[in-house]
Amino acid sequence: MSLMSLDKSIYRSIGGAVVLLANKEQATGEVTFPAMNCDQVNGDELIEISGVGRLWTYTVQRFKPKYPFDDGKADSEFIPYIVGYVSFEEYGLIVEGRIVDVDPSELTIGQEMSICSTVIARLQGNDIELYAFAPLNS
Amino acid sequence: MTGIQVVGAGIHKFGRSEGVSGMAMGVAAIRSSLADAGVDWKDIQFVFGGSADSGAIDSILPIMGYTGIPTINVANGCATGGSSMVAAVAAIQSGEHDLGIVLGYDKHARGAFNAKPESLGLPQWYGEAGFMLTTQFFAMKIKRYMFEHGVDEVTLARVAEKSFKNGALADHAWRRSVVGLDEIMTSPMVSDPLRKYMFCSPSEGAVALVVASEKYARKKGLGGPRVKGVSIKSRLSGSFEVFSPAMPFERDVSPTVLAAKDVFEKTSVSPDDISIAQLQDTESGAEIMHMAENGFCRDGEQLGMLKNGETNLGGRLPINTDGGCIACGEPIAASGLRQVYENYTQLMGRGGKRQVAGVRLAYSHVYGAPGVSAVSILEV
Repeated sequence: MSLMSLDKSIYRSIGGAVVLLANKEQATGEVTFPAMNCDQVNGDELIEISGVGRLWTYTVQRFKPKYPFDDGKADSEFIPYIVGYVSFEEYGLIVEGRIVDVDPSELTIGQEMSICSTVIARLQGNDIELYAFAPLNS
Repeated sequence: MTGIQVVGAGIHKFGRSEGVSGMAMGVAAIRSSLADAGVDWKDIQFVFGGSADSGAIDSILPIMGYTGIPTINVANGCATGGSSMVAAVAAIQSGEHDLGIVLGYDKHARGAFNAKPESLGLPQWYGEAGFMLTTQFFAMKIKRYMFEHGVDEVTLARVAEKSFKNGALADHAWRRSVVGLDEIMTSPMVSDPLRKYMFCSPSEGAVALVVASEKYARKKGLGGPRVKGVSIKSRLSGSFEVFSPAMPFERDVSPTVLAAKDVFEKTSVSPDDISIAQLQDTESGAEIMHMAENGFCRDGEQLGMLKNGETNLGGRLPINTDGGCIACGEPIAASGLRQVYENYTQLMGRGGKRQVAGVRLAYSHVYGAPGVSAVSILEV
């Protein structure tokens, strides 16, 4: 599934709040992200991950990645971005995503993070959004 | 159990070799390994190995000669060399073969590797959104490790400083100049907390090892270090691996911990017995974490060990004695075999200015995407 056709099948906005869509295996209770099509994983339940997580680790992507990375911009217009993992203990999961609305020097491992969405590219005239994480109360 | 020896080794210089194909480097490494061992190509009974970007290893046959031997391509990312070695050892132990070659060569484009999401079972958007970079993973793994175990940025720089010092003494290395601690600490940040001089770069090169059963070696009068033990393991669900959109909150140990434990148990060797170690150092953070994962120290002890020079050439446990990936660069399929080549060189006493005194047991370790580790112990 490409970014253009992402179709909100891995996250969803509900009244301003963003939730991640994950699979929960019925037998073991194990949660996996991103959610797969239900016909691919028989017996798995589709669940929403919501609420507050904690920053587990992070880094800054300071050079423009090669293909298939696509931000729709010229090389000279590349803007470094933060990537990190946020833990959601009650779901038993640590999720990777963009970290937004913060300067990397102000991040601390363990701090509370909320789920949001952000524009990560402009492709074929459309703003392409993806789920992301931001410090709580930012 | 059948004993196995490395009876010859050949290398094509790592780094950039304009106009020389990966395959041609592989052929050059084979020829020097045969000359070193004192055996003929027609005596070789198998070739196992691979190249990530330079085609199938069968392409050496038109040049080396069609002798009807099996050639098997191994594709295990950065662990290709180590995996090929494990397969060769098993082939000889089974009694199927007595003499073979383990081969790895590669030639990569400049810049970071660009893995394809679909080749690793990941959705296309994961790559398009800019998550498909090994450099990001390495940075995030060491960032977490520094948080948990108190390793600092100077320790990261000390690893790179040592790599360039050792590389300057190795003919096959790419980076042959010493780089000072200050220059490393102030070089451009690539993926925080890792800076330019702390990363290895994709490069070019080839290694061939001639391996034989001890019985065959005795009969033909061949010599060389014994393969004391090898192991290869893949990841558990809760280990932190490259290219993971998510992972379980409950953590597991890495495949390196599993492989190291297995080889030390199988051989009844203790990490304290090892004379030198070649550890996967795609960047300086990896060397630090792999020191502990392989059992050479406890988490957090690296800070003191690096400060005291314990992993330098003259130290208690010299690590990456030829400068490792940081000084040699990484031709994916050749890199793990370079480690074994360096161990062979040291065990044979041919290390020149970088020779470590009294080397008896030499350890090698590679890690590859998406979570494979292969280790070996050679002995004289």
